Amino acid sequence: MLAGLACSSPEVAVRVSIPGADAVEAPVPNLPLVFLPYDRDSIIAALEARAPTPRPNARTLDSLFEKFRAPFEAYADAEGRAGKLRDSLEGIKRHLDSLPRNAPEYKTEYLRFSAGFDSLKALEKVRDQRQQELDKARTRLGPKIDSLRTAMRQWESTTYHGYDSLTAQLAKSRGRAPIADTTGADGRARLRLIGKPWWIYARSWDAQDPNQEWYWNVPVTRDSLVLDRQNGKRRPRY
Amino acid sequence: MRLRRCSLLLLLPLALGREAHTQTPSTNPADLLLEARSKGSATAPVTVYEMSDFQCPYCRRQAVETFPELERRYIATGKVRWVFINFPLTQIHANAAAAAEFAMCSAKAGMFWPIHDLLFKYQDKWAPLKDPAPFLLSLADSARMGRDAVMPCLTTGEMRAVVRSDADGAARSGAGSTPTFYIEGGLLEGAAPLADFVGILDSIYNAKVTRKQ
Repeated sequence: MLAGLACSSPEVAVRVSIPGADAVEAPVPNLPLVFLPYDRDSIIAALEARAPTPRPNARTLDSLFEKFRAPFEAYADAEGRAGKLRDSLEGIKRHLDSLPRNAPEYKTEYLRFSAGFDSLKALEKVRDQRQQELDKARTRLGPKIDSLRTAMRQWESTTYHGYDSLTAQLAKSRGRAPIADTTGADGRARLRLIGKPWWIYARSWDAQDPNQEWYWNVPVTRDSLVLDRQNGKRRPRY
Repeated sequence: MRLRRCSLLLLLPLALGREAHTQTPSTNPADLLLEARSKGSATAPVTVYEMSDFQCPYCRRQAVETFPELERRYIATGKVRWVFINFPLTQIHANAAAAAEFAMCSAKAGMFWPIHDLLFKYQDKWAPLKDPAPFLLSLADSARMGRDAVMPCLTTGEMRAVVRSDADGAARSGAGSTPTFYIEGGLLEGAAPLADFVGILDSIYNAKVTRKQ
């Protein structure tokens, strides 16, 4: 049967991978990706260049973010280590449950479990202390950060006022509407793009800093693209 | 056989010649040369828009093997009007846009269909060329229209925007591959065999004619 025999543009495969909380590169599942028929960065830059005043409060916010980062990293480190130890103890416990009480291996495994359990308790204590420090930092810095962010939102709202109509015009003039997709559990997405040019736009939380994000605005120049720290920008999440 | 539902609204900019993007030189349907690249009666009950790429081998198969019989059964008998829409897949077919532009300049000279046939007939000759222009111009000689009839149009590149407008409209209509046929609200994808077309066109034609009576 001939039906279905057709020429079609190649699929574009995208993989997203960034450092996780433990700094190890990992795929990013369920990440919204938007394929745009225009370069959003150049539009944003043009709108910012027209703004009568520069973005307010950026330096102050950066400095507050910096103050928040240390207690957050300390907490995240303790929680990460506690989590790993907890997983490891779960494994030992499952092994113990599968052994007869009088097995020679049982005693050594039990001692391992017991020592690990004590370490976990100590680590959880450290983690709780660091969580308190983090909460204090949040209470101390949070209201100031929120108020500066509100002022920045107002500036953004004025500065980027024309963004939607500009991009709608651009999409119309190029005869292509933005296409949204989401990465699968493996951090990958595939889709077929007709015509060119296209850019992929995506943002992901930075697992290592709640006040930072990963941002991509990458031209689609190949059939296979990786969004990672090489072509992403780690930027403040104002 | 797959006939996917699709809104004519998506295809309308190219079908009716509305401005599809800012580089389209005109909103006048005559400037999009729709008549010149149509076959069949303007009052035919059924209209088929063929979204095609001159460099696509499956489009060639459709044009060479299936279309002549469709023309005999449906177009010549006034049942169907057939409109050619350019949908060059430039990512995979390097010479497809040049061929489409050449075909549209030929349309301006009133020679779209002879060039359409020659482009598909000699697809294997010009498709692999690094610069297909000399070969394409030789087709103008083969069609006996002469190079002078297309040279001014090719030199100004005036049909480039029309081809792009065609392709954008085709993509908007939901076509993702070539050939794709827009038939009265549905999309038929791929080089379907004659029997598939016969089933679809007969059923639509009969429904429309019965409704009129």
